[in-house]
Amino acid sequence: MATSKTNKGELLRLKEAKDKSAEGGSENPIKDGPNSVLDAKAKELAKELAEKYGLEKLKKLFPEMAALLEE
Amino acid sequence: MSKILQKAISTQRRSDGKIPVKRMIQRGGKSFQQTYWVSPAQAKKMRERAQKDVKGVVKAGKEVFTDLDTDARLKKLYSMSLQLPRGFAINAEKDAKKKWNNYEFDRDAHAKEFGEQLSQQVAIKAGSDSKWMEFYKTVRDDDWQKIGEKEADAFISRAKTRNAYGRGGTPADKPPSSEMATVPLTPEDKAAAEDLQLTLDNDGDFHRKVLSGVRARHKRQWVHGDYDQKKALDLYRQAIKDGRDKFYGKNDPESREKMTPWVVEQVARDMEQMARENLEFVHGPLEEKIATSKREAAGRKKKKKKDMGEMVVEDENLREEMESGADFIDLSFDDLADTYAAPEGYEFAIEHAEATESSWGVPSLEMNGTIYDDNMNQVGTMKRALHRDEDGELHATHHLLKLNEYSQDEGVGTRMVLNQFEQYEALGVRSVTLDTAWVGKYLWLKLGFKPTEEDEPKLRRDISAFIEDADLEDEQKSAVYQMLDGDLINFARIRGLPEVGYSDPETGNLEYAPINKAALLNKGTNSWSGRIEVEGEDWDTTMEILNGYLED
Repeated sequence: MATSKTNKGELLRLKEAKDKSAEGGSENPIKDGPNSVLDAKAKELAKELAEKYGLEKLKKLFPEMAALLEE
Repeated sequence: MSKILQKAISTQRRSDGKIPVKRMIQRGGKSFQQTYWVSPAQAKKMRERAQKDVKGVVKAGKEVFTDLDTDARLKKLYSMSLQLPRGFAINAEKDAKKKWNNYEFDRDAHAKEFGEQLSQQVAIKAGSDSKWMEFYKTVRDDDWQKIGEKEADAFISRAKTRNAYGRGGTPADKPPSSEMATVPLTPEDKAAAEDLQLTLDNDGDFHRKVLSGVRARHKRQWVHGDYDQKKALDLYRQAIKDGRDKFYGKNDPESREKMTPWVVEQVARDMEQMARENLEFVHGPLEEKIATSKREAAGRKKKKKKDMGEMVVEDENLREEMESGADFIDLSFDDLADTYAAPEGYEFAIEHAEATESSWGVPSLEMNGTIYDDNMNQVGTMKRALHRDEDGELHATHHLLKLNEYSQDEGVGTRMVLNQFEQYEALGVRSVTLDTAWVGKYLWLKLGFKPTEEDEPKLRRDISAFIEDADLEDEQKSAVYQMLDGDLINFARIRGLPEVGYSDPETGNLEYAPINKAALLNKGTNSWSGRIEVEGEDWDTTMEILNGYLED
């Protein structure tokens, strides 16, 4: 039962994907490029996390995030 | 247990002809995903072996779990089923509604069909998710039918208590034809009914064709309940009598012909009054609310951006439909043209527009079309809808905006969306709802769209499952989980997290991104619907971000 259902499931999944593209679903019309507003937001969030964990621990856990604070 | 439970073969192919095979391996109670490069023949063998394994596991599992308490199992099945993609359930509801309205709803047939659909959906999930596989093992064959019966009973209950699906029901509820004949109609009544453009429906009630005329004039008004047809007939008889005696003179040969429109007008007025009373009873003074909303909107300075091009409606009939559709939601054609304009050098050509009204009297306008560049090359498609809610407030729905990659690079989409958002502010639109897909699953969250109440728990679960399988140190994982516990929009905006592999949402290929982005983009993460209010701090941030994409 499971085998036939898995195969049928795959077909259904393909059909759903097809239906989805036919009916809609907002794809990404916006190019996710440089953005100074999001840069600032990311820095704010990094700062909050540094306060939560302590800068040293943040450096250890997520060095790239800690580096944002030094930029 | 160390079994291959799932694998996926992508279309990616190396120069030596080998293709990647991803395998989900369970070891020591934990799941691991591994990628191997193997020949297509080996991949085929692995797929066959995996399918055999799945079959064996399910069979063994069913034997082990046969003693489980039935209700507890069904309860779990029902709660798990709520986490599935909504498509099949929505279609089942639509189908059931159609049948219900025609007195064709069959509880057992619906239960069987729903159960089968559900088992297929769960099998799909089980094929790619070890947790679902564990759950799938516990389900017995007749559980699907039982859950289908629960769904069918719930549908019947909804249809009856909400009375939102009209008067239909099961074949047993259908009034016998003899009952239809019991409506006392004299030949004169029948003739009068014809003159009044009244016809009989299968309940023996008068169906009011005249209602459509009333509704066309008073757009969003909907008469709940039945019009007293006897009153219409009495009015008709009285009018004929009065008309002959008072208005047209006894010898006027055209008196009867003149009379019918006059009576229709009286009936229409009467119904209009009733519509207003009903509407105010249900929704409060809607006209007043719309007037307030429009006054507020008029107070804002409307700005059509200089760098915007045109929205084009070439077909005359379509233009008329758009104009009446705009009127339907108390906007003008120019409002729509300004809002859905393409950037300069492009045009948005409307191909379809439809004004509809929900059963609760909510008017909406849906439109879609194609975006062309200067050389009439098709660069994208767009589908948008606007509706007024029961308080008379406007809301926008973004069903689709799909652009080719070149146009995305040119900022066409960003400029269109930004212009739409600015126009929404001017028109007094209160919220924007959209359906995400593919890369949008990540981007719209980062832009500030909040997943709906229904979708947020599912999205959190998908992200959580991805983190669980990710190749990170325990301490890092634990910190990422804590970030996920907070605001989802902030989670998407965090930067500097370690990169992990994920399955590209469009191609299925293995790609790498920071774990928060990867979890959202991952093919296994379901699409979600989101909403943003067109005012306040969150909205201002979204507008700043959109502007930021154009400026940076």
